[in-house]
Amino acid sequence: MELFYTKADLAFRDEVRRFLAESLPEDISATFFGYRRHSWEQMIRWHKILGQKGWAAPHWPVEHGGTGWTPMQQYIFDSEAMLAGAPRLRPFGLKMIGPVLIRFGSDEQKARFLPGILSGENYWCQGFSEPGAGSDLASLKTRAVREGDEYVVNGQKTWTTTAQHAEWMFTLVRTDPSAERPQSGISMLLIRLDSPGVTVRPIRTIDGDHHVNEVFLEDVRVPADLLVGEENRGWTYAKYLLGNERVSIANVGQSKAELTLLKRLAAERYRDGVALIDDPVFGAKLADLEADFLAQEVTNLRMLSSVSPGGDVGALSSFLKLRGSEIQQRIQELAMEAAGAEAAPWQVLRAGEAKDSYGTHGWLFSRAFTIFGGSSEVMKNIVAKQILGF
Amino acid sequence: MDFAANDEQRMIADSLARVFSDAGYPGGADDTWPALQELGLLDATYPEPRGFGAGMADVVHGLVEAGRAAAPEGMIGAAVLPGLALARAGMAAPEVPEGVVCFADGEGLRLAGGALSGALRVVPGADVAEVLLVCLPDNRLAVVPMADVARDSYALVDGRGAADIELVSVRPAEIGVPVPGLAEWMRDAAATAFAADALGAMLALRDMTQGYLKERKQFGRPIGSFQALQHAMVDIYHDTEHFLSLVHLAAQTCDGDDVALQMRAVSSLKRFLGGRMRRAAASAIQLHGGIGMTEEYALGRFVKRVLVADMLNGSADAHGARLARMIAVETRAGLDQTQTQEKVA
Ligand SMILES: Cc1cc2nc3c(=O)[nH]c(=O)nc-3n(C[C@H](O)[C@H](O)[C@H](O)COP(=O)(O)OP(=O)(O)OC[C@H]3O[C@@H](n4cnc5c(N)ncnc54)[C@H](O)[C@@H]3O)c2cc1C
Repeated sequence: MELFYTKADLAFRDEVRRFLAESLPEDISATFFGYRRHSWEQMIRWHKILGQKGWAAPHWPVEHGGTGWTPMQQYIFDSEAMLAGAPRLRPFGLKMIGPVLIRFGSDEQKARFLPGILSGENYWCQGFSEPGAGSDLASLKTRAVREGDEYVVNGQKTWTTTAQHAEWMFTLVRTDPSAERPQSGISMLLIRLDSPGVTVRPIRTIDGDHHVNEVFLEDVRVPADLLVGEENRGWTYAKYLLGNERVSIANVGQSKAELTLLKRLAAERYRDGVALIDDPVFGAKLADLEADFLAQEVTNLRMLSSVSPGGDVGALSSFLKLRGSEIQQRIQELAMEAAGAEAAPWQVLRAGEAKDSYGTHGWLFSRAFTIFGGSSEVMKNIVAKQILGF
Repeated sequence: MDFAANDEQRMIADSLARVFSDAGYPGGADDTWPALQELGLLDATYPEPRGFGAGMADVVHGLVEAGRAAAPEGMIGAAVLPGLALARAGMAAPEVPEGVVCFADGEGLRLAGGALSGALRVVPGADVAEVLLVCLPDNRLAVVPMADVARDSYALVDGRGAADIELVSVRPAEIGVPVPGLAEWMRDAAATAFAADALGAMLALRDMTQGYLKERKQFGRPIGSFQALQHAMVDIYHDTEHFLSLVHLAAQTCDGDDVALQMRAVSSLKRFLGGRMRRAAASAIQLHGGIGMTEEYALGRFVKRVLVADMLNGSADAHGARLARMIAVETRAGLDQTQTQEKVA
């Protein structure tokens, strides 16, 4: 939204562009502009480059390694990086557990974990959902019993994204089964995934990929100093974390870049001699998406500029996730339509090749955007209750 | 970036809101035009000395209040747009001090031997105007006394006045110099002004509907306790917030000098209005049940304002098509740029 950029914002954008031109490896941007998905290795490599520059966690307080940028500057950085073809850094450490530790963690925890999250050295995953506890997360059953200065954990987590790459999992466990409200008996524990008793099993999703896992916990011993904050206060921390997760899923910077890429795809594809981007029917769909995106972009900036740094975004995050996730789905949908027959083959990728970003599998995976991080129905429940007062 | 009104904008908007609520709007029969005139609120967009050259971003806050009150005065057609047109065209106000002037898009008019002929349909504010400003297709603004044209006045569906105008070899009192892009700009400004009014109407619709869901009981409980209705209400709320963003964005682009962004913003706004806002207005009626269908109940007034903004100043489809053309042009320009960069490298 250059219209709203101040002189300082414009200078900042130039600085960001210079940095990207110098520091974003060519193979990484080529992956994006070649309509391919970044590999895990590319994402981590970029994370480390940003970590060295001190730009991996702009939203963190400066004393913990943040940049002190305004929400507008953060958005400028985000969208410029994405438009240049940079990968999106995974949110689990930077956007989820990092801010929780900063706000609720002990000094030892901060000193121990924040540097590794910033640098990209340590990778985290989120162990919240269970087979029986999805939307109704507070009904979770994984049990942690205090024995001396350890917790003994038993239970099962599921849908754990990229647990196969992670060293650590932040986990919600039940510490007080007799609490009056289910929310009041929950604690947050940090668990090393190579602890004895932890088993990670892959789940294949309908796009044929391995994003998510089941994590089984059998008599896993967790030192008590890996409890976040206080016992039985985990729900409070989880709500703060989920707010940040939802804003991160709304992901306007990435949508901006992917929408730009989608338009390129449409300009390069021809149907009966007409470039798809000139086709009135496809053009109308693009126009609707553009209008919705523009509204989302401005609304996001408008609303996030009202939240103080590190503050609780609350129900606002549910509001923003609703349209953000829908827009990302529609980008995938139009990318699939633009690719036409080429989107249909299951094995578009040859061995070792990065996955393309417009196949039917892209559409299939995008269905998850309105499910994970809280489904759209649940987001609407939250907005109805907390913003509209029903 | 929260689009809050500044002090001056707030003052105008608050004065308007006060005049409207004193008149008992929505629904009161009072004619507030003289009161608005006296407060100088109608001339804001006129160049000095008649007004103070207020821009689009200045007046949207006031227009939102007019929409929220469902004010029946044709403020946009007979005050805001003519002032903007004169300011944009660099012309002084025509010789009718305080007289009512209206603005029309002159697309389709013929100019032959210095005389204008043709028909103008549905010109808001033309029912009461003494002077007509027409933007000619060659981007010149012409001043035509209404005494020289034939007019057929009527009310729009929302009660605001308009007229059809017939010009038969009418010699304008004055024709300005060409201002590049004037016609297109005026079309976008008009669309934005009506959208700001529709935003006010949507905010009123939203509040009414939310209130009704909490009040109305069926099956022994407030209908707002039913999840299906809560979700429908969330959609209305959500879309209206996004619409608000687009209205303010469009207003700011109208005051700026980035024509491409202005066209993108205004066409997005109109597309959104004809799509999501029209659906939201329909949903508000649905959530009210039978009472929402009655002429008596205020809901309909607001819905009609949304429809008028939707129908005037280019259809949602026409704006969708314009947006699509712009996307194609911009995307190709972007591709050319990267290809040139690659070649240079
Ligand atoms: C790809 C993917 C990655 C994920 N990654 C992680 C992760 O890393 N860590 C993690 O902890 N979890 C993760 N999840 C889990 C995700 O958060 C849950 O899937 C989500 O919360 C929904 O829970 P559920 O799948 O049990 O569906 P359910 O809760 O069973 O919902 C089924 C349907 O019922 C609807 N529904 C449920 N309750 C209500 C209600 N009260 N009102 C109206 N409708 C309702 C839902 O909207 C949905 O449509 C991931 C999920 C996916 C698909």
